[in-house]
Amino acid sequence: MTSIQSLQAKLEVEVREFRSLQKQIGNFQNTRAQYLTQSNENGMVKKELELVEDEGEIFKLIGPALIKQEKTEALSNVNKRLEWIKGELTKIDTTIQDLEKKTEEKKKKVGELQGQLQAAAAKAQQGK
Amino acid sequence: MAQTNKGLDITTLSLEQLNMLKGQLEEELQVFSTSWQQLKLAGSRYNDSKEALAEINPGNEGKSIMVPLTSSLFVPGNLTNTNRVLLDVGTGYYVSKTVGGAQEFFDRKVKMINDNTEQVSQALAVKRKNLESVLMVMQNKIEQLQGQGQGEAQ
Repeated sequence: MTSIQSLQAKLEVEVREFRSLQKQIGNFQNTRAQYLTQSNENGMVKKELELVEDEGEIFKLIGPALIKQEKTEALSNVNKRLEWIKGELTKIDTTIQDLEKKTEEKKKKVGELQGQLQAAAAKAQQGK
Repeated sequence: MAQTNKGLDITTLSLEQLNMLKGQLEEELQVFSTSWQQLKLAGSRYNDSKEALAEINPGNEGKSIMVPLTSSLFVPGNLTNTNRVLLDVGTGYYVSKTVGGAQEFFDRKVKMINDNTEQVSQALAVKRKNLESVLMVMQNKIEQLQGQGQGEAQ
């Protein structure tokens, strides 16, 4: 009987860790989607800034004020931001891959324990 | 997962797996519908801006206008510069453009939104078809099971 109980306890622990891993993956995927949106928006801003002719003026909204910017400065800021977002995206992708691998291993473990539990329960039934 | 399931023969799946697939497809359908609505909304806003822009022309120069200070406070003013306008291009950047340049800007945005809407519409149609297939296979399986049950009872 105690072997069944200990198997059940182990199963609970593994299932809990599996669920928490899945939740972490979900959170990271949300963040990743946000970064993707920012990357797209900055990409569009970059295209528009590049199209600005020489008479056109560029302003940046800093707080409640519109501050005039040089085209080169604005472009370099947007490019820097795009680079940073790209870096964050690759970091998050590696993290998500890692977590997915761990989740697969957890799933296998949970499957094994469930099998062991079923076998032990069947044996206990036969013993009766 | 959705991609592999398209290649997988869904008739080989159990009823429970089909049910899960159905739930997943319905969720995806929901997401695409929301995206489609948001795109339509953004598109109509750009169109509104474009129509408002048509009023900024030399013919209206000097006319009095109401200038919003807040969303509920306006002050009277006069339209002086009808040549250039300030456009919000995103991430806090504003660009001064000629009225013609601004019209092109809006045209670009509207085109981009239409392209994206087209993509979403297509994806939406594919998901709907997949959902229908899954529902059909589920229906067949249920009928099969019922037929078997009746056969055994006899």
